Amino acid sequence: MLLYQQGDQAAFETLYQRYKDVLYRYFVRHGSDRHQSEELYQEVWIKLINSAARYQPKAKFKTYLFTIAHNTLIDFYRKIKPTQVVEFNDTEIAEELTNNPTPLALPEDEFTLKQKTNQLMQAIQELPANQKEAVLLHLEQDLSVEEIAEITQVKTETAKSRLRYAKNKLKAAIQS
Amino acid sequence: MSIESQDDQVLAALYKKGAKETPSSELDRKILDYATKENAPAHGDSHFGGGWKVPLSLAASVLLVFAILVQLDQSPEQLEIPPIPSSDKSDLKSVPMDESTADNFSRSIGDKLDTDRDIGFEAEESSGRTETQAPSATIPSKLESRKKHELKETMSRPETTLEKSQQYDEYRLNNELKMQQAPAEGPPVASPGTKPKVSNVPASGITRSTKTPEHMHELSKDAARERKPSASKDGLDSANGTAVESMTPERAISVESNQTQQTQAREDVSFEEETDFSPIPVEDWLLMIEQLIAKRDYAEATRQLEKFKQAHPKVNVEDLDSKIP
Repeated sequence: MLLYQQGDQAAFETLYQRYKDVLYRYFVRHGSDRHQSEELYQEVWIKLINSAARYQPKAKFKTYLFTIAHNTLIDFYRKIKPTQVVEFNDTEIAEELTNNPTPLALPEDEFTLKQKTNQLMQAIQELPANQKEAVLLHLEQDLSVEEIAEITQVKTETAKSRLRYAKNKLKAAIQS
Repeated sequence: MSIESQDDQVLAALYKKGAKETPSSELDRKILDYATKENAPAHGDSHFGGGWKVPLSLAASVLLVFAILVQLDQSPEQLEIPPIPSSDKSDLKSVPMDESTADNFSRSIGDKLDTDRDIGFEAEESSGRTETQAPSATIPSKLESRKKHELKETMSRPETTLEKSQQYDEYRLNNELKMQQAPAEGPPVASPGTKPKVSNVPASGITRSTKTPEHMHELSKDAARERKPSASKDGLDSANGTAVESMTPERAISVESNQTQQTQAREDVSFEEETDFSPIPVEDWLLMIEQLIAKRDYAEATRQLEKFKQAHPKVNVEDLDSKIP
C-alpha cells in the first residue's frame, strides 16, 4: 500500500489480487443478492484508493481493508435495512450452545463433503449479522479474536463470544 | 490437538471448499482502471509541480527583489523619509506646498504678522524709546526692500506647514516678550480704553520707516496741532473729548490716529516692527549712511553717523566723516 501511495501501480494490483476474493465473498455472504455485493465490494476499493494518500501503516493491511468493509456494510444496513442492524446486537441467548463433545470430522466421500459444505454455507447465511461477520473473518482470513474485535470495533470479549456462538451453531448445523 | 481447534480446521476446510465466488473480470478492470486513473494525476501533478511551478515562483521572487534593490540604488534621495515631527505636532502634515498655495499662505501669515507688529509697536511707542533703539527703527528703503524680499522668499519657499508654524510662533513670542519688557523701560502705558497709539501721518508725505523716533515724534506733534480741531469736529463723545483735551498733544494725536488711520499705520509700521527685535548689522548701517551721503542727505547722514558712533564706538568711521561736508 505504501508503494502504491508513492505511485507504484503494480503494487496496487498485487494487493488487489491478494484480497479481492476474500473481500468479495465477505460481501456475498452478507448481501442478499450479487448485485448488492458487487456494489459494496466496489465501494470498498474506491474508498481505499481515495484514502491511499492518507494511509499510515498502523496495523496490518487486511485489518485496515476489512475495517473499511465493515463500516461500509454497517452504512449499507443503516441505509437500506435499518431493522436488520438489530441483528448486530448481542441479545440472542444461545440456548443450544451446550458444548457438543463430539468433534467434527471431514467426510471421506465427495458427496458427503459437498453436502456438508452446503449445510455450512446455509448455516452461515442464517447466522445473525454480528456472528456471521465474526466467523467469516475467522474462516476466510484466519483472523484472531483481537483482530476481529478491532475490525468490528467491539471489545475482545464481545468478539470472542460472537465467534464462539457462531462456530457452535455451524457445528451443530453440520452434525445434524 | 484440542477438540475446538480440530472443529475449527474442519469448518475452515469445509468453508474454503464451498467458498469459490470471485468478482467478475469486468469489475476487476473497473477497479484497477480507477486506481490507475486516481493515482496517475496525483503522481504526475507532483512531478508537474516540481517541474515548473516552484522554479517559476522562485524566479519571480528573485526578480522582484532584484528590481527593488536596483531602484533603491538608483534613487535613494527619492525614498528619503522626512524627519518625523515631535509628538505634540504630529497632527501637522509635512506636505510640500505648491507655489500658489505658498503665496496665499505667505499673504495670510503676513497679515497676522502685521497685526502682531501693530500691537508691539503700540506698546513700544507708549513706553518711549531709548537712544539705542533708535537705529533699529530707521531702516533705509533698500534694506527694507531686501528684508521684505527675504521674508517673502522664506514664506514662498515650499516648506512644510510645521516649519511655517514654528516661524510664526517664534515671531509672536518675540513680540510678546517685547511687550512685556516695554513698560519697565519707559513711562507707564495708558489704560486700555485710552491707550495711545502712534501711527504715521500720511499728510507729511514721509513714511515712518525712513524716520527716527524723534523725527516721528516731531511729526506727530505737528500733526496733532493740525488735527486737534478736526478731532472734536468728528464727534468724539464727551468722555473721549475730555480725555483728548486733558491729554498732551502727542497722546491726543495718537488717539485720533488710532481711530482714523489704523489701516495705514499697519502698513507703514509693519516693517519697522519687524526690525525692532533684530539689531541692524554694522555693515548695513554703514551702507545706509553711505547711501544717505550719496543722496546728499547730509543732515540725516550726520545724525545716523552720530548714532552709529554711540552704538559702536570702536568702529572706525573716519572715512565716512570725511565724506560729509
